[in-house]
Amino acid sequence: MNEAYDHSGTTYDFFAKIFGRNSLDDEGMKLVSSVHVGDEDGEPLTNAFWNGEQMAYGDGDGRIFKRFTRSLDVVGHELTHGVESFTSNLLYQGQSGALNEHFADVFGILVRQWKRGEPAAEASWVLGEEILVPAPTRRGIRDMEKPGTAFVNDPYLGTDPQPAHVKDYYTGKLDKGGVHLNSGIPNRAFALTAKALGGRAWEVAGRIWYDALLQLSPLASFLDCARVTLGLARLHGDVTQRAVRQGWAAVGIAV
Amino acid sequence: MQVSFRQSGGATGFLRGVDLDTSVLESAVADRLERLVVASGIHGQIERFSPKERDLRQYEIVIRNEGRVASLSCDDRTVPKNARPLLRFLDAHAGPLRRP
Repeated sequence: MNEAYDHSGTTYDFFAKIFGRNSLDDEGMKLVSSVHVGDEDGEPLTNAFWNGEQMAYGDGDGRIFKRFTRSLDVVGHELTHGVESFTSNLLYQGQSGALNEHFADVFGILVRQWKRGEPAAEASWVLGEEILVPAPTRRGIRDMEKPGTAFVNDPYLGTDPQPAHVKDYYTGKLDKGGVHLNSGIPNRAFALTAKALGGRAWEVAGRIWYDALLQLSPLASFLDCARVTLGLARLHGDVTQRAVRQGWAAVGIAV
Repeated sequence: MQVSFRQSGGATGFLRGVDLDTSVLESAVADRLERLVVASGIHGQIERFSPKERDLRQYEIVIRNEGRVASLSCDDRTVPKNARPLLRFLDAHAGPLRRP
């Protein structure tokens, strides 16, 4: 309970201090979390989710997963789904759904980097490290800088299915058209942009991505996101613009 | 009877699944699976997803039997009560999947 409370507070502070946002709805909405959530059979849930109004966290099975509240970036991710529901409200299917997941990952990892005071170059870009029982085959649930490498040949998780480039874009039905899969593509664009800019990722790259979240429409594509972030980068100068363009180019999206 | 199971999504986003064929399973396991399929009430194509939730796990069960195909696509919050024992059985038999 303390973890959910503390991490929610940290995420609230992050959005307030960095972007001037007053909670999920920007109107001071209360942050409600349910913890120790079980599945329909009463077993500990091996998941965390946003139910449209609040967060819910399971305790994991103790074999592969630990408590989902352990990870600040996971809590930040779930709360960002709440922010998204009051902003771009990206449709949770296909490419717009992958952007929905992407923004949740971006602000999830930025909350953690901000809390730790980590510059982009030194920071870890791996999400969810704390919710996994350690094993040589797993480092986290996603790697934003190197999608597809967070877990490899793991007996339970298998190999990280995220693509890192549009040439490997997933087009099937699973995962609502790959919302947690294809998010690896813009995740890498963001991580590369932030590292190219240097300094602290939440200051310039984070600002651009936050402003993009406010501007994108519910059916936005990766190309739309690239164009909007590039347009916003112009406000920060040529170096920033070049870093954003190169970040998207590295994943196969030319703007 | 052939039963295909796929799990995707959730906050973790990993993929799991299994393809079972009662003609090659141990008879006790095959009988259990067939009973669970009947009890699940899955007929035709059922698709039900929660509209507002994010990071729920998604499930797909496809049943092929004597030329007929039935399927269920749902998430954690929309699994029909009668199908939960079948889902639990399939999950227990599932393993990690490579991205299709």
